[in-house]
Amino acid sequence: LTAINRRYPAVAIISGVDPNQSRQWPVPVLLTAPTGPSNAERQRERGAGAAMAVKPLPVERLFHRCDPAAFPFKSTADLPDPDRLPGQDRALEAIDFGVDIKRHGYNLFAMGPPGIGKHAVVRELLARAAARAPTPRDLCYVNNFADPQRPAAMRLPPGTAVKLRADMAELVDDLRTAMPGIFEGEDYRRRREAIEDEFKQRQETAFETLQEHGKAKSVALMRTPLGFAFAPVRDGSVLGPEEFAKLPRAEQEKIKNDLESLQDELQATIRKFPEWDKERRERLRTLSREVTMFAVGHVIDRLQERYKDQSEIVAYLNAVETDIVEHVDMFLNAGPAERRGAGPTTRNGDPFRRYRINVLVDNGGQKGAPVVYEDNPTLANLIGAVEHIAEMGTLVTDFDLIKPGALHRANGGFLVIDVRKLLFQPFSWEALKRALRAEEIKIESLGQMLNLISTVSLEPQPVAIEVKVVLLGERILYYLLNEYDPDMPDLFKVAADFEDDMDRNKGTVDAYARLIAATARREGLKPLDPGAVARVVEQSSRFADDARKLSMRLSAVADLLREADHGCATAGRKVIESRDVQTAIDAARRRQDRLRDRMIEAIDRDLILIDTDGAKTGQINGLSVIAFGGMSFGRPSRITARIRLGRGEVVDIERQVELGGPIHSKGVLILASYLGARYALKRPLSLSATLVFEQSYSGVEGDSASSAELFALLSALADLPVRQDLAVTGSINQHGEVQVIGGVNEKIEGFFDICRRRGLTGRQGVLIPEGNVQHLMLRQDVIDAVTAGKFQVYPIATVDQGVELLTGIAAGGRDSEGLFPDKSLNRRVEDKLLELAELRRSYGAPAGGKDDSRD
Amino acid sequence: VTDPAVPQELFRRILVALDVSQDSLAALEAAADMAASLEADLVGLFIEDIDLLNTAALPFTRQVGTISREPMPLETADVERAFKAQAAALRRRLAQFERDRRLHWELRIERDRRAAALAKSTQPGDLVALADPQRSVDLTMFSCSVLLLGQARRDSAPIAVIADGSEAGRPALATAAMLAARQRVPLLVLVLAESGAQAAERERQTAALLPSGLAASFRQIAPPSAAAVIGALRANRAQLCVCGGAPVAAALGLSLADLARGGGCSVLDCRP
Repeated sequence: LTAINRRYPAVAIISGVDPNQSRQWPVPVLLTAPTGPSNAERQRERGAGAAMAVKPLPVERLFHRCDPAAFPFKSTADLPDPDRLPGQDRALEAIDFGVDIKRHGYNLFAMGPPGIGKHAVVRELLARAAARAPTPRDLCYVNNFADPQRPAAMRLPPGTAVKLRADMAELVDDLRTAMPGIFEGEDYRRRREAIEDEFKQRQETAFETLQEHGKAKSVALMRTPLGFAFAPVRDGSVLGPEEFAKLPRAEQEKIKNDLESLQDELQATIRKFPEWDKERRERLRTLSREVTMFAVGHVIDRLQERYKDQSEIVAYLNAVETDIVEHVDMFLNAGPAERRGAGPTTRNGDPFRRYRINVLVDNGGQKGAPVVYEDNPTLANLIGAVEHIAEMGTLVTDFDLIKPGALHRANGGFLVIDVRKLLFQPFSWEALKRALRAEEIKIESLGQMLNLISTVSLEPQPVAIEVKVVLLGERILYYLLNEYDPDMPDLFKVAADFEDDMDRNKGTVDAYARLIAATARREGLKPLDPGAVARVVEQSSRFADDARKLSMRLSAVADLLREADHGCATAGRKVIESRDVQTAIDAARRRQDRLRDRMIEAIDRDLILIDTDGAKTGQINGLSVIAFGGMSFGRPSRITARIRLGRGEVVDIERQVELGGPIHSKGVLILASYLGARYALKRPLSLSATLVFEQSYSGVEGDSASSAELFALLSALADLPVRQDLAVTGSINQHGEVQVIGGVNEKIEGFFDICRRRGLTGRQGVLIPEGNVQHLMLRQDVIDAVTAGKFQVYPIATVDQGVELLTGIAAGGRDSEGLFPDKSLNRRVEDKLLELAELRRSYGAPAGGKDDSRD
Repeated sequence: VTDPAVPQELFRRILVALDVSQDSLAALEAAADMAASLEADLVGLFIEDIDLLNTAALPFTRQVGTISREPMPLETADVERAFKAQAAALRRRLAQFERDRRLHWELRIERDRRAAALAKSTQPGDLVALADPQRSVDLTMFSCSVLLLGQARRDSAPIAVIADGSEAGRPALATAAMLAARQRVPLLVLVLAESGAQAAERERQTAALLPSGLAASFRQIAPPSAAAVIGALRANRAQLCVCGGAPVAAALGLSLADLARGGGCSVLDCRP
């Protein structure tokens, strides 16, 4: 507009401009349209202004009662278990689908809040599916005789691994007993001695020949420190150097030549010895093999006949036979097996460990597929581990120290893991994914993975897996994993999303009653009569914070039933009644109420300032919920507003000191927007307002106080006092509509408790969003007070309804000229804002803050 | 032993001939076992063989190593060093026997020829233990009993004795019976005779000389046969064959060294 004025200095023809604003321009202005609100705005103004007188809620709307007479049973003992968990059809269908589909990656993620019964439901469904599935094969590891560092895995029919283990132990025992006897037998001994003698004779003959050759030349074979030597002999004695020197030269030469040739012969003879020795050892080994085969063959044959249908076992037994033949000395040196079954503790202490069968999974007693729940999913507990034992100061291991993980045990069936526990364990999540992706379990220790240990370890043969993994956890974990882990969508394709609650109607209440009956039976509790069931149903709605819903937090319901059962038993009754349930509810609250009592006491003693009567300007009772440790209660808070001339800012003191959360700040910004849009559409909002939660020393979050803050601000602007016997909760939008909030029951009860302590006057009450009426499940004492006319709950839909209740002054809507009625609250607010705007203009300051530059 | 002709103390000393060969330590071990069994003193006679020194002194002699299988110089200094080292090793071993088996021992070192040293060192009542039975030793030079050490057998193997009916055979029987009783092993009596009847009679007479309670078995060999004796020794895996020396050798037509080698055991030539 400023630009238009400069370019066309004579006159400006514009529409939609406030006449007051046009006064600041130095040229005449022709206005082509009325300067009031638009038609749409006027419509909304009329609607808002024509606030219907709000009536307090009738008592029947404060609590959704469950009629015990509607139940057709005398006690829950008459009720059968529900066929399926009611209210969780979506999740159950997902689980059924996930269990049935046999495709890679179709593992399940069952999500929902804790205590909703995911574990029990999942286990039950899996158990049913598992019972129909075939029993998987056993798993065992055996020594890989060709490469002991890579133990071999065998998958055997259920129950076979244990039998094979016993058979192998018996085989070793038999051989330990039989072998020494066979090798000490006459036949073996004679054959062995024949070989030894033959070679000994061969050596002796060779030496005798040398001696003979030497003798013929008057030369003797002498033993020397390192071997043998020839020396000339005369008269039975070796010639000394002097004697030798006296011999004729020709004879000396002859002796030298003789010695030289004999020495060559000696060398040639001695060189044959290693070859002969090798030949001797080979013949002894062959003999040993023959005898061993005789001893082992028929024992192995018997086992092979027994396991002839199992090619893996037959191949293994062949390897065992070969190995026994190669290591027959072990059996000869070990002695009898007196300690059968006990087994030496050290690896080297028992050379026969190599023939053990390490049974990792025995499905001999298993009916159907296994359902394994791993409560502590560490890496080792998940994929198994290779343990070590200390031996002579070092860590050693072998195939018999391979320990199974949950994946091994669940192979062929289902593995259930709590995802939170899984993610807490280092490397477990990655290991699980690796196994699922590769469809095999490869045992790797952390030490191996991180190269932390340098001792020789094993690389067990990976085991193929066919397992359905079911993760259980909160939704946030599912969403986060889906967002940040690209493997997640490929490996966990089926999400079973458990509901927090279910609709409350005749059908679902009946189903819920059967669920209660089933829970009582499962927990071994006394049956409940219809009144008790009705009270549990009502409390379930309270758990759900919604009169039209039933909570699916079954753990909380089960707790309530157990506690009611305890009270019933203490009272000596056989059937749980409504009063037992109520006593349990009251007792649970009482146990948790220490902090709430301290808070009420502080208000009682005026340490926390809360007014419950009279009226004050710019001050209102807001309501908040304090929740921690599984309990929550409502707390009234004094909210105050102060205004002064300013640039249109509404200062949220909580935010300034970083005690206000983002949602709370958002609520304050919305109310500031509402204020400007409703009362200062065509002029600068020239106030500076401050809002504060008095005596709040910790964080404030949520927008449920935004309506209360607005009411306090309007009170300050209109200079009208607000009733202090009322408390307010509700968030607002930019159009002045009051929106639902959470914890409505706790908030009402929180203010009620304060009022009751000080004495109910009949004027006290709480303003709540109209949308929250469906959530009301108030305490009986509140309902009693309302019934007696001593306390009220007002549902409000608009800001105008709220201010009228709080101030007793009509809010007022804009008329056809866009003006609020005289003396109406809105007129007083608008006038005040106009006054501030004028005041600001009179100071000659540029209108508005940053936004003003565009006006 | 019930034979009054046999002295109660069989051997006062056991003298074992030792040299630089690797068999010496094994011989010492076997002699120590025997000394412990017979409660005799053990005397190690380490012979620094003059013939070996002379051989080394010759400038052209070479030794062929059993490990290297190559000819190498044989120096006198090397031989002297070997003598010292071997003597030290033998002394340590003997001291060990004293600690372990409470044996009285002595190590003598003689620089001489083997036969001469042995002849000088022995006296009647001794037992001379000789390793390496294939080395020709004239046993007639000894006036005392001789033990030809053969293949080592396990301790539980039986002790054999050759009963030929000679006078020399009586102390042999007594010695064998005592050794068998002390070692708690069976006694195998090989009865040599010209006929079955003679063998039976001889067996009866022999049995009468044995102490009661001794586990003894008899094998009659008539007429005397070296092969039968060797076969019996091998079949029973005897650890020791005790005999009356020259008469037995003559009867069998076999040297005692050959008997030790053939029977795969030690042979004790027991002389009165």
